[in-house]
Amino acid sequence: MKEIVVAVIGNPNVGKSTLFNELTGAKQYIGNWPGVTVEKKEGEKIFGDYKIRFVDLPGTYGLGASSIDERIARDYIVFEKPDVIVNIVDASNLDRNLYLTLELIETGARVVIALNMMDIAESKGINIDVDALSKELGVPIVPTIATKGVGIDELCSVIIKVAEGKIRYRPPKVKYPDTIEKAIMEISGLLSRITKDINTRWLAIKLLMQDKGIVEYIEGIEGGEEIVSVARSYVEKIRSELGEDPLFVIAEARYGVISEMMQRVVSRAYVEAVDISDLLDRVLTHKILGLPIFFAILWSVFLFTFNVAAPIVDGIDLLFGWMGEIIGSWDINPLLKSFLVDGVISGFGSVLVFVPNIFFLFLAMAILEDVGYMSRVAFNLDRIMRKFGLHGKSVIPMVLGFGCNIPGIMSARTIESEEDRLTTILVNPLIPCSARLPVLIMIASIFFGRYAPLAVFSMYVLGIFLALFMAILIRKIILRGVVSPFVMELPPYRLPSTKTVTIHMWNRGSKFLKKAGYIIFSATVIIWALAALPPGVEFGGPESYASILGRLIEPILRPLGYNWQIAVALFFGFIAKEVFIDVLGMLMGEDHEAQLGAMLSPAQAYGLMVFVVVYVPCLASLATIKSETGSWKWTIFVCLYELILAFILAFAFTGLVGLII
Amino acid sequence: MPVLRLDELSDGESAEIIGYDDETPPNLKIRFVSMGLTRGVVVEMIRRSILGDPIEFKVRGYFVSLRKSEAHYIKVRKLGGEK
Repeated sequence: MKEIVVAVIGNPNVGKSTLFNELTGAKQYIGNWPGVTVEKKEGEKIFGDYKIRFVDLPGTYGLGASSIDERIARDYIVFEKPDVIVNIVDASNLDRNLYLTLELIETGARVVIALNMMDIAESKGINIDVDALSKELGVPIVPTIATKGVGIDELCSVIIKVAEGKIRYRPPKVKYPDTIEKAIMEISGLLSRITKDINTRWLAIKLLMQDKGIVEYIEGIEGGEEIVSVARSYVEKIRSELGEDPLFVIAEARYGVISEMMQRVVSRAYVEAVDISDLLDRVLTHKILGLPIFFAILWSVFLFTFNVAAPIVDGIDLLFGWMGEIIGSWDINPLLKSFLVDGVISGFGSVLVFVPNIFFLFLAMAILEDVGYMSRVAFNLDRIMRKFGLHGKSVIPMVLGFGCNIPGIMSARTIESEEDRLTTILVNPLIPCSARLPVLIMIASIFFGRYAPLAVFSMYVLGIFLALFMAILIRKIILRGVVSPFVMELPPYRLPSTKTVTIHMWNRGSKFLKKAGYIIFSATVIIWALAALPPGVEFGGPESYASILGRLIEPILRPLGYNWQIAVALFFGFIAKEVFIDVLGMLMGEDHEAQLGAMLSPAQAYGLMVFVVVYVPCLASLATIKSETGSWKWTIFVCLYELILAFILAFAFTGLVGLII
Repeated sequence: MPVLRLDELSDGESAEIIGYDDETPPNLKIRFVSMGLTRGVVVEMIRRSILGDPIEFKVRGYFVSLRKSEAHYIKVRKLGGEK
């Protein structure tokens, strides 16, 4: 069977992931692009005698590459040279979409257009003569409606015809003003001496547009530097002759070609239609109502995540309890039994219990993204977030962080500039996740009686405040980059497609399961061993390694008033925050709440709550930070700043609350 | 017709792009171009966000948001008529 590689590219919001899912089904492989943390999605389809390997490229408006996403897409097309490129074009928004198409054609690649959203175009009264457009562009076009699976087989058979060389390409040549054409001719002539692989006309145009990535690429080739300086002098010449940057002149020439084409192939009927998106936006992005509605939606997401998942969570909890009892009654090696009951079931089990919450959170997130609301959130809050050195798009990771920091950290991917994205990730663990909530509730209810809810709530305020505060600090001191632009499309609202949403949830959720599960499980084994060894000691008793470890840490925590059991609980809480409660239960026994109440003063207890919120991210979050930043340096940085901050704040709050009470 | 900057339009006003500020950062230029914010194109101001920034515009049949500071780099000529 012959294999062909097909890259799938298109503007954002053109139904690319829906079409990709239709093409490949659920058989997708998610990895990372080499050197960066942007997700790389691949899938396969067997069609006739061929195995078609589809590579999903990040959404991009052009090959100008101003963000990581766009650079990946551009580099893949230009340097990896897939056999065929499927360019998804939104039929209801033809002229902006065709800009990318013209650029793709200029690279000399074999492009097939999937003219998507034909139904939406029709409902808007846009009528496209597909054959005529295909002739004008010189590339094959297949009309598709991805949401209904229309046109998928035709698309595959055209892809194969193209791969077999059965379709002849007669691409249009965009004619640029004479001064520019002359420059292109000369530069591409020079380029043809040093490079054979890449279309030299396209490279010459890119040099005139002063594309940073391409300039650097050419400079890297022997003899390239001179060509770049020739190009640079042409840029100056064109600028003085035409009074405008060649970048703009070239882009305008392309749009000129597009609008001429549009006049010949598109006819518009006047359709009187209410723009539902605009109506929704009048409310959802309203100057006064926008924010309250955002918080209401957030609240419903939480209710959804926790209430809908609750029965499943309870079920899993019951299942583990039942398994614990069964195994407890077995007559097996006591060490093995202890490992299964105390380690796997109560340790690992207490984390697995949260999996349904995480899946539902991913589901809610996928729906909000698919509908198009996330870009409105960024629009509503950009101004406020920018005051703290963050980006409008930083709100989403923070919101998700209340549920679990892992999806929060992962969702920072959509932020363009590396500085903004890193800052968003680095402050995320300060947002109190749902695993810290039970710990906070336990401590607060022991010490603060009817003021317990207020005490817990104050921790959320503190977490948000700290995240914003740290963001300013990081942005002012360490990551002083340029502010990334906010030129962002606000796509029309769309009904979410079940398939896209489920695949989305599954891809992200299962990745979490694999990664976090692996780490948490290994950690469970270690903790259990510490509490159960050396052989013969009482589990978690004073002779165990856990206790020895606790006494080792205790002196550091003594100024805050915590004893060795709390030290061990905090240490184990690093694996997963909710484990804190379990460890106290193990080490102090049934009446651990009463013991804790006698052990600490209310002021010290409040300090402990602060400590629990701030000190080090859990292990799974750390693993995610490592994989998303790709750097140990940042991972360690988060641990260090959080630990230091936790000590200072716990100390300060203990003193402060002591003064008040 | 008066020459303004794009961020100076009020709700519902339309204008034609006539050029760019010389100080426009290169990465923003690339963005403008690939999003279709080129000379000769008509842009309609739709609404401002909370605190008046960013601003939503309609261009080439779709909606795009720009920060005030970004829109300020774009020179426009106001088109008369609708308010």
